[in-house]
This record gives sequence, C-alpha cells and structure tokens, in this order.
Amino acid sequence: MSNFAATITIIIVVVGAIGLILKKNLLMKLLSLSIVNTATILFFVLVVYRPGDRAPIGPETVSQYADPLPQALVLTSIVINFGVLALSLLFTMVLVKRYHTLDLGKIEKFVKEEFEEEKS
Amino acid sequence: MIGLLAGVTSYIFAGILSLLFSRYRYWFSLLGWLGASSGLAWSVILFRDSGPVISSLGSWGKLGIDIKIDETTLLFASLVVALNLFTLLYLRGRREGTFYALYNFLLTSVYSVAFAHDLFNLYVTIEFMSLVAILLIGYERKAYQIYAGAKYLLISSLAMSLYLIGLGLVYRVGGYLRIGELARSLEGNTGFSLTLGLGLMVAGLAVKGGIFLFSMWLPDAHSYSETVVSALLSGMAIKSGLIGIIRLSELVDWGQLLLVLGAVTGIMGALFALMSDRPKKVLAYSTISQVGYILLGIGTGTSAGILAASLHLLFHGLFKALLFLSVGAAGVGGKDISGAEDLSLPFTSKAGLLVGSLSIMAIPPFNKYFSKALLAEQVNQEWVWLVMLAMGLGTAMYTLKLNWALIVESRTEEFSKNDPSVGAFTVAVALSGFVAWVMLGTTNTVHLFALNHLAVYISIPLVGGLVLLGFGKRFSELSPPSFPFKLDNAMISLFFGFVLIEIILLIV
Amino acid sequence: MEMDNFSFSVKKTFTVIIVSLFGGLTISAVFLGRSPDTARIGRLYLERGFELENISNTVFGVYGMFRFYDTLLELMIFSTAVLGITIFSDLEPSTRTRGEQMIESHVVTASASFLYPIMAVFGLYLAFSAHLGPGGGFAAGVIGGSGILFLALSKGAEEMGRRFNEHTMKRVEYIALVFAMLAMVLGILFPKLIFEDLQGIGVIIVVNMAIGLKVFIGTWAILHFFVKHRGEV
Repeated sequence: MSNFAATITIIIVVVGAIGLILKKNLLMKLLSLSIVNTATILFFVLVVYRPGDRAPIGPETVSQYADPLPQALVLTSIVINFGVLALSLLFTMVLVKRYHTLDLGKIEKFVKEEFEEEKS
Repeated sequence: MIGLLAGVTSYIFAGILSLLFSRYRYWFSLLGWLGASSGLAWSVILFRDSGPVISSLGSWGKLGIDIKIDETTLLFASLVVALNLFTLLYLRGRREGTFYALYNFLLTSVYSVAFAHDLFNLYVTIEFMSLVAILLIGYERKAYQIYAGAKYLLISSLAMSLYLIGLGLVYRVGGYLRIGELARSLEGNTGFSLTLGLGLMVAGLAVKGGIFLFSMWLPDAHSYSETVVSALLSGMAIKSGLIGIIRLSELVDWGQLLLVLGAVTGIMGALFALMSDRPKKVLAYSTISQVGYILLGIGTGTSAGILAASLHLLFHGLFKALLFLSVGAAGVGGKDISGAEDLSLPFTSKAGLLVGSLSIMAIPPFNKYFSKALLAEQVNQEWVWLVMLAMGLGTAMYTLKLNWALIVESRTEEFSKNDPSVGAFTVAVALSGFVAWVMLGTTNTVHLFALNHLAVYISIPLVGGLVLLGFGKRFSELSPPSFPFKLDNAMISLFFGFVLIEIILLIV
Repeated sequence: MEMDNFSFSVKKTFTVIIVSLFGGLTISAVFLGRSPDTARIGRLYLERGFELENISNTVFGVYGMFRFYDTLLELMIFSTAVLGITIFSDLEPSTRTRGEQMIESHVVTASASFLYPIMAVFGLYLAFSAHLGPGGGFAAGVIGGSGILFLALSKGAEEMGRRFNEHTMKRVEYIALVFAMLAMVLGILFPKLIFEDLQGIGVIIVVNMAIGLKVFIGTWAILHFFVKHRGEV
C-alpha cells in the first residue's frame, strides 16, 4: 500500500522536474522546484512506512511503531528547503529588479551582453 | 572528535563574532584558523598513533553520528586549513564583516564534510556548503553573478532531492545511515533497488563535485565570481562532492562507472579549456578536467588509488587556488588573452602562474607529479592509460597557451604592484611537492623517479607545445558552446547523466 | 522563429522522455526493493528512546539528542539564509510597482489583534513541550514569526519594522545561536552529565527556547523583507 503512495510521490517529482525544466518563467521554476522538494520529503517518509504504524510517541504497549529516524531527518530537510526557497526568491527578485522581466531566456541574453560589455 | 569540534566551533564562532564586532573581523578569522589548525594537528597525532579511526559523536554509540579520520580526511582538512591561511593573507582585512562571516561558514561546512561518515550528515554539510557558496558567488551583486548563483542554487537543490530519494531507497534496504555499519549490512547485496539508490546519490553528489554532464553550472559560477571566491570554490568547495563519492565507494564496487565518468570529464573539460580565451574561464574548465583524475583514482577501487585521488584533491586545490589568486591579483581574470600585449602583470603573479602551471602539467619535482604517478601505477586497463595521456596532453596545451599569453607576451608591472601573499603562496605550492616526497617514503619515490616515468612526464608538455605551435590558430578560432551550460539544458543533462549512470551500472 | 519552435519541441520531447525514464526506474526500484519493516537502526532508536524517562517523543530524541550535530548544522543553514536576506536588505525599493500596495481586509484587521496572542502562546507551548509531543524550536519559531507577519498585514509592515529594532534583534539572534552551539559542544563532550544526571529536561527546554528565538527572529526578517518589496516589477 505504501508502495503505491511512494509511486504517486515519484510521479509528482517527475511532473515538478518537467515543469522546472520547461517553464520559461523564473517564478514558475521556483514553484516547480518547491513541488519537487516537497514530494521528495513525502517520498522519504512513505518509502519506509508500513500500514498501521503508530506515531513513535509515548511508551505504550503497542507492537508497531513507525521508524522515527526518517521523520527526524525530514524535519532537517524541510528547514533546508525553506532556506533554499528564501534565497532563490531573493536572487530572482534581484534579477527582476535589474531587468524587469521573469523570462529566463531574456535574462540569459541580457546577462551575457552585460558581461561581455564589462569585461571587454 | 576533538579535532572536528575544535575546527567547527572555532570557525562558527569566528563567523558570528565577525558579524557582531565587525571591527575585529580579521583577527577573529585568524583565531578561527588557529583553532581549526590545532584541531587538524590533534587529528594528525591521533591518526599517527592509532591509524584510521571511526568514532561516534557524543557517547551514543550506534545511535549517534559517525565521524572518520583517515588519509582522505586529513588531506582534505589540511587543504581547507592551508587555503584558509593563504586567502586570509590575500584578503588582508579587505571586505566587510558579513563577507568574513560567510567565508568562515564556508570553511565550517567543508571542514565538517572532511570528517563526515554518515550519509545524512553528508547531505546536511554539503547543502550547507552550497547555500553559503551561492551567497558568496552573488556577493558583489553584479547581475551575471546573481544569475550564476541562481543557476547553481536551482540545479544543486534538484540534485540534492535526487540524493534524498536515493538515500530513502538505500535506507530501506540497508537499515543504517552510518557508512561503516551500512557497508556491513549491504555486503553481497546487489539488488536493483540498491543500485538505483546509489546511482541517484552519486548523481546528486556529482552535481556538487564538478563532473561533466552534471556540473554544467560550474564554468559560469567559478569565472563570474570574485577571485577569492573562485579560488575557494574551485579549490575546496567542489571537493566536498568528491569526498562524498569517496565515502560512498566504501559501500559498493562501482565497476567501470567512475572510470568512464572520469574519462569523459577529463577530456571534455580539457577540450573546453583549450577553446576558451579568458583566464578565469580557462581555469574553471580546467577544474572540471582535473576532477577527471580524481574520479579515475577513486574508480580504480584500490586503497592506493583512493590515496592517489585524495593526494590529487589536495594538490589540485593548492595549485588551482594559486592560479586563480595570481590571475586575480593582477586583475586580468576576465580579460581576453588574444590581446595579451596590452596586459601587464606584476612579477609575483607571473611567478605564481609559472609554479602553478608546472604543477598542473605534472613536471617532476612539483606536487601533481606525485599524485599522478601514483595514480598511473594503479591503473591496469589500457584505455584508461590512453585517456590519461590525452588528458595530460590537453592540460599541457591549455596551460602553455595561457602561459604564453600571460607570462611571455604581456608586460611586467612595476615593483610596487607585487602581492606578497601570492609570493608566499607560490613558495608554499612549490615546496608542497617535497612534502609528498617525504610522505610517500623513499622506496616509493625512488620507484617514481625511474627514468621511463620521467621521460613520459617531461615529453607530454613538449608534445603539447608542438601541437599548439602547429594548430594554435585553429583552436583560438573556436569557442566553447554555450547551450549545454544554460539552466534548462544543464538540468536536462543532469537527468541524462543519471540515466547514463544507471545504464553503466546495470548493463556494463 | 520557426527554428526556435522546432528546437523547443525537440527539447520538450527529450525532457519528457528522459525525466519519465528517471521516474520509471525509480518507481520500479520502489516495487522491487524489500518490503519495508522497521529498519534495524530505527528499532534501536525506538528501544533506547522509550528507555529515556522524560522523553516520550522519540522523534525529538533522534534530532534533539542523538543527532544534535545535524540539527545544529541545520540551524546554521537557516542562519545563512537569514544572513543572505540581511545582506541584501539595503536593496533600493523599485520605482516601478504593480497593483495595490496593500490589500485591505476587514477580516484580517479585526482578527489579527486577538489571534496573535493565541499564536504566540501556541509557539511557546511547542517550544516547551517538544520532548513530550510534536513540536520543537523550529516549529515554534516559524509559528511565532508568521504570527507577527499576520500582525504586520493588519498594522502595516513599515510600522512593525519600526517597532522591532533591527540592530538589537540581530544581537539577540546571534546570541541565541551561540547558546545552541555551546549546548551542542557540551552535549557531545559530556552527554551523561547533560542528558542524564541533570535529567536533561531543563537543558532541552532552554536549548529549544534558544532555537525558537533564533528561528522566530529569522523568519520575521525574511518575511518582512519580502513584504517590504511586494508588488515591485
């Protein structure tokens, strides 16, 4: 059962990755990246999950507890993704303030021109 | 354990204090260096007394996080400490408190990567490294720097997602995160799930480690950022991904995978370096090319091969940082070298370029000769031999091209422009070859200095020079293609590379 | 132009094929792998975690005690993100803006003043009780920080920005970080003393409060930065 759930998260990763590559709008790219990261976190928890696991809180006489390790690790990677999102939004903002566009193709063209101009 | 804690805490404190009291930022950074180098000294003594050690942080035993002290750890940590010293001397109190904070945080992360022996700890430290690195890349707020940083951030975040997916698969099969225990639990297991998980993890680390097809963000990021940052990134930051691959190779026998990746990386990097015409771009592509040697070393699978890879990791860090700093101190990093008559370099920069180039071409008493010769001893397949020859030839050609323009054609600046820190670094790099000599012992080195070895290593640059004389014009007309290095295409090539890895792992 | 369209469709096809190949391989690995049972180290964590008298949340035991080094590096990553935002905080506001400066909503204005104290108390509760149930310093800090954002939306971001002295906030933030660092070093060097002889709880709560304070200030710094620059093109 959890295998099917993990499959769905991988499909979300694939969709997010295709969006990350093909969308031309930088903000859409960040949104796709966010989807990929979140789906990855979900995958990490689901892939070791067994149906019927209880939350590992409190010593009770229940036979089946979930593995606490992935849940603890996922907390770390959620914070890391928060940091990545904040910084990528910041960089996008600086680029938009400079060029007044979100289109990556245009930004790449402007950046190249500016570099050539400055260094020649 | 003390070694790690001393380094990490003193670097973090140096960073925080230089934010809070930015007047004394330089002195705090020096204190941080002192703490880290004493931590390293402690680890060296520990290693000398009792050999490779794996210990757990805290007294939690199996439940804690493992750290390992072996040759790789020590060589990488000494690279961190050495680059820290020389870049600090180069900075001489320039830049503001926030820059020093980021600088010390970068050192924290790479210093802790050196000791990491736990798969999740590797993830956290490497992610820390890349977040600090992108802030340093974009520090001067030029638009092209911001773009290069954003590209690095997006690709590396995607890559670390792949790493995490792979980690989930490996953890489900193996049941541990500490590499030592995991290796025991995975012994003899060659299931599809495991192979795929490890392939995903290698793909993730390859993006950080400067491997061709994966690290297409690298040339822009390393050539657009300012000099000290380029030196630190090329010298040590990308090595953290390679350290990760060295640690993973304790788990699995890669077969031909790393040899193929190393060959592709080495040759393509050298080819692009030969085609580009700005010193920093040449050096950035050359970093990709040199990573090829390290991969070949890990790919041989023997412990001596891994020692050669670690030695090369140290030496490449030293001479690449020297080359970046000498180009940057003269302010010619972004200039076109086809018009080198108009450029002028101070004497120290020229000396640094010369010593760095002799090292990168593996001319005998200089440092890279030892690692490359040690690596060549371990290679037992003919095609890898030929690849190494081709890589050596390519390296010699782009180095000679760079040197001809920057040392011979350009003018020499007046004496006052000389940079004493670059001079000191030059002397240190020139002497580091002798350190390797001492370390490898007399029996090994007598063997390495045999006549046939010397003949090969000296004739490669000669042949390279001749080819350059013949076809030099042809090469300078070309320029490296830009489309594989665009953001979208770099991400496509990441997935393409992953599928390639799986094909090699599963079929070959 | 036609050439561009052509190359884009090639790129599209290639991307879909390659990424789907990645997905297919990974999905088959999920199904071909061993069906999950609690991994060996996970079982050890459960056994050892339940032995600790005062800590009933095993997940907290993992990230707050056994693997606290990771958590500290995670805190450093968060601080780096905040530092990045503060480095760029002197960006000039752009002259070109789009849309409304502030969306006035009576619901937000009316509810903020009495919802914020509840959020603050909830954040404090999470920081205090992480060892007993779900919670922890990070969650507490983020809840507190977004509560302030809520308040800022009703009172105006500039007003809230003035109320929090940036300089003092920065000092407090880094002192909290130093505190967490020291706790880590002591916890690694003398784990018996910290976590068992002192019964652990006092230390754990103080460390959680420090992390919570740091994350609270950091979250506010990040959110305030983006609220300040909203609507710029």
